[in-house]
Amino acid sequence: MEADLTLSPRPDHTGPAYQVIEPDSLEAIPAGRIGLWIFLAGEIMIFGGLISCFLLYRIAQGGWVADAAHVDWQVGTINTMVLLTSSLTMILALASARKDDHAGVIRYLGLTVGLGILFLMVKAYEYHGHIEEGFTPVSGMFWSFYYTMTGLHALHVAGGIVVNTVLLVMAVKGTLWARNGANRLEFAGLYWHFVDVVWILLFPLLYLSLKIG
Amino acid sequence: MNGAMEAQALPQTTTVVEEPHHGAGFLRSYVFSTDHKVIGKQYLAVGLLMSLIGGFMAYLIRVQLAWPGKPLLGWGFIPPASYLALVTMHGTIMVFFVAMPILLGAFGNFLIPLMIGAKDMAFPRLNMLSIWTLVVASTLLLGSLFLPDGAASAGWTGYPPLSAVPSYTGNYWGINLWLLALALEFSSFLMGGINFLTTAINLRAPGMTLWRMPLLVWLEITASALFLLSVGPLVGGSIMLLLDRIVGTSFYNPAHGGDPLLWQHLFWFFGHPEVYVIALPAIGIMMEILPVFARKPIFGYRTIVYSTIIAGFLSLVVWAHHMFVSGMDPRLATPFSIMTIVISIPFAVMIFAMIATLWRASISFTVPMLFTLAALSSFLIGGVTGIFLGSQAADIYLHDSYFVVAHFHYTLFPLVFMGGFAGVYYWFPKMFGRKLNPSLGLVHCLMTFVFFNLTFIPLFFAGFGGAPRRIYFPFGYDFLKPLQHYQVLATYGAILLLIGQLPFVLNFFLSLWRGAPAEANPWQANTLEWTIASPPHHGNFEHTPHVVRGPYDYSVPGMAQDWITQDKPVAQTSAAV
Amino acid sequence: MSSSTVHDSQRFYIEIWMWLVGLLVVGTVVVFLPVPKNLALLVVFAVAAVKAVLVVRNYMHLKAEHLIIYLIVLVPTVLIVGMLIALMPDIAFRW
Repeated sequence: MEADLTLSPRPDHTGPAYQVIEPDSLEAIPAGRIGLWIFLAGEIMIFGGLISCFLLYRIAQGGWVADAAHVDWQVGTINTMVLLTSSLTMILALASARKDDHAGVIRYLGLTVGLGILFLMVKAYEYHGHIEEGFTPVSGMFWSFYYTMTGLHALHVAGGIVVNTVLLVMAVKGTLWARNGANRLEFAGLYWHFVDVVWILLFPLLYLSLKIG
Repeated sequence: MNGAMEAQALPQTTTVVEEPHHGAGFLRSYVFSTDHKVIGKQYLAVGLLMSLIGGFMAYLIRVQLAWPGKPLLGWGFIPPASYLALVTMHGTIMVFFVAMPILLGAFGNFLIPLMIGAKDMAFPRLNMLSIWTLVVASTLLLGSLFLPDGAASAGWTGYPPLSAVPSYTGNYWGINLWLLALALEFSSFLMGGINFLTTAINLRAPGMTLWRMPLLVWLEITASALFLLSVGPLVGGSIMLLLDRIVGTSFYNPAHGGDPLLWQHLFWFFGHPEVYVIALPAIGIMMEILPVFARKPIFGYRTIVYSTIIAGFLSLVVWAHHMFVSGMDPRLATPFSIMTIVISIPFAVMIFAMIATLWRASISFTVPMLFTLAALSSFLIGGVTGIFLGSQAADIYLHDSYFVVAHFHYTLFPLVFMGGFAGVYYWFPKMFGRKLNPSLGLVHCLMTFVFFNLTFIPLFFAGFGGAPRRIYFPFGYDFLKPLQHYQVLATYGAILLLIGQLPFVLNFFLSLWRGAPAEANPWQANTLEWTIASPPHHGNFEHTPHVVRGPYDYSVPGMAQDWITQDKPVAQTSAAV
Repeated sequence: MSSSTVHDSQRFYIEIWMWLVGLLVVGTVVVFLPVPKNLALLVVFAVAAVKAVLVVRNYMHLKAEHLIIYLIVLVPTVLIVGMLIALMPDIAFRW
């Protein structure tokens, strides 16, 4: 059986010069998508490890409820809304790209970047409030975990904002379409949704679970 | 380099494929290159350079132990804190900056695309980022040696509270830089792992099914996946340790509610798979070399693949055998002990497969083959002594003794150095277009093998006698005095072992510039990298290879010659060479 | 070139988003309802799990992906849970 040599020639000679669809091997998934999922597997281990440590210490120690009372669930809920919505705008950007709706891509990608920045601003406002009240990373085990986990997450959000901004600039300048634009948006989207999922898990852990009862 | 290459190029590879670097300057072609072959050589350079530094540290450690309190030849007097920094840095450098760069970074990068018939890795620019991240990491780590307070000195395992509270070690930036260097090293190999896995999944040439891949590729990608899966929790844990040191959190400080044991769990959850991340590529190298110089197919190809995957999974559930006497819950000891003994089974299978490959084979004792045999026999001793340590009752006595030191040197050294050297001697012609001098190689191999054993066998006995590791001044303890002759013997071995590396250094550099030019396939091997020029052109294969057979069709009955490359069509097999 | 490009409609994505917001409200409100503590905890984390799965399946298109991508996600998740359980006797129940 003849193998189907699907070529994606790139004038700058970067990246693989061909991708092969082998009849008896795995369905051809774009290299970028596989690579990104593998990267996310590593990230699952990192955040999963931190969350596990949080859970282990939480079970071992008591008294976190008093500290956790100073974390504002309303602000947390707003931030969760912000990030969820940014996930929606991100996927809508990808859907627009698939339909060749360039204006839609710019619109939704811009919204995603904006919402991401809003998330970080709200987070900064929160941190500022905590520090004003005297709650720093050394104020107790809960606070140590709170700052570490949300801090690492915020760094990931910032990274995602940078990537999305680069793609936005490319979209505005028109250079995104020539260079596998839809694929790049897809990969950036996978990362961005992952960052959202991490927050979906962090939010109940830090903002809700210690307020029950 | 170009001139020698043109003269040796076989007809089908004289046409240069795409040359985007044609006319590009030195920097773009050799320093900031995205070509996997260049990057592989850069990894090799980092690994070999760091091995000189790590080896020198080993010399200092050994001389201090043999003649404690005396100033060291070529160095001077070593204070206790410096000794601890030495053992810490020796371990860190050897594991993270020698073993992984050589076995994974160099051989993985150079060979995976060639062996599967690809033009380059899936993400060449990410590849370049990964080597440069490693270079930055190495610079940070070596820089920490020059700090006024000294380099990291809490052991390569960095246990808190010693490592968590700066005042306990007396060094602040040493351990901080150590953590940062490790974080960068982890990122480098995570990036590499993404590349290796995606490349092996996606860029195989037509006909190169998973079951026709050379074993080295299987083992490299399993190692990459294992690293990816195990390092995450330690990354989180290291962030926590760094915050303990810099910000003053108490994740690991028992005085304020932290648990030092958590670090041990996180470290060894990674640390144990890490040693298999190192072991698997080395075994892969041996499995490539054995069939070629035995002129026989590897015995049990699929069994080896299954064993590899099983060993990979098992390695994730044995970590607490490093913690039997740590004060962890004793009920955890038995399951981990059982799993540790069980994990010896897949490795035993691999060893038996290698021995079976040699059975009734037509063996050529070339330098790569000799190193492989040396590695195989020495690793066997290392593996068997691991069983003692894996049994929790025996480990109560042997933990943190020189028995452990001897055990892990008997596993790591044969794999990393003997296996690594086997790989270097075997693929040097392909990498550099020149052959290494076999006589110097023979001297190197014999000296390495003999003096390695001389160095570490005595340490088993010292460990059995109760000698603890990381002790600066053995004479301070009466019960250690009868064991001192073992330490002296080991030190003589170590000095001779280090001297024994000189033939290699000489050989390497002499051959780079004046070695005999190498043809495309000096070893008459089957895998795809031997079907193209030595060294390969940018873009590797002028025409995409179409693979029609597995990699180990040696001495197939009825064929004119005893080897046939993976891409040679069946119809041409009746023709002579 | 991509084997599993999914063309869900804009409407579908917005529907998922509405589910996510609804679940967010449920999960937050239950904290303040007079229900037993363990039930509230269960609901909160179940909601989080469902939201995560919704995003991963529908926004990250895992539902349309090849088995290998499922494995790439599943194996680390199982590992983390396994590590968490293995560490419980030692770290969680020490005090």
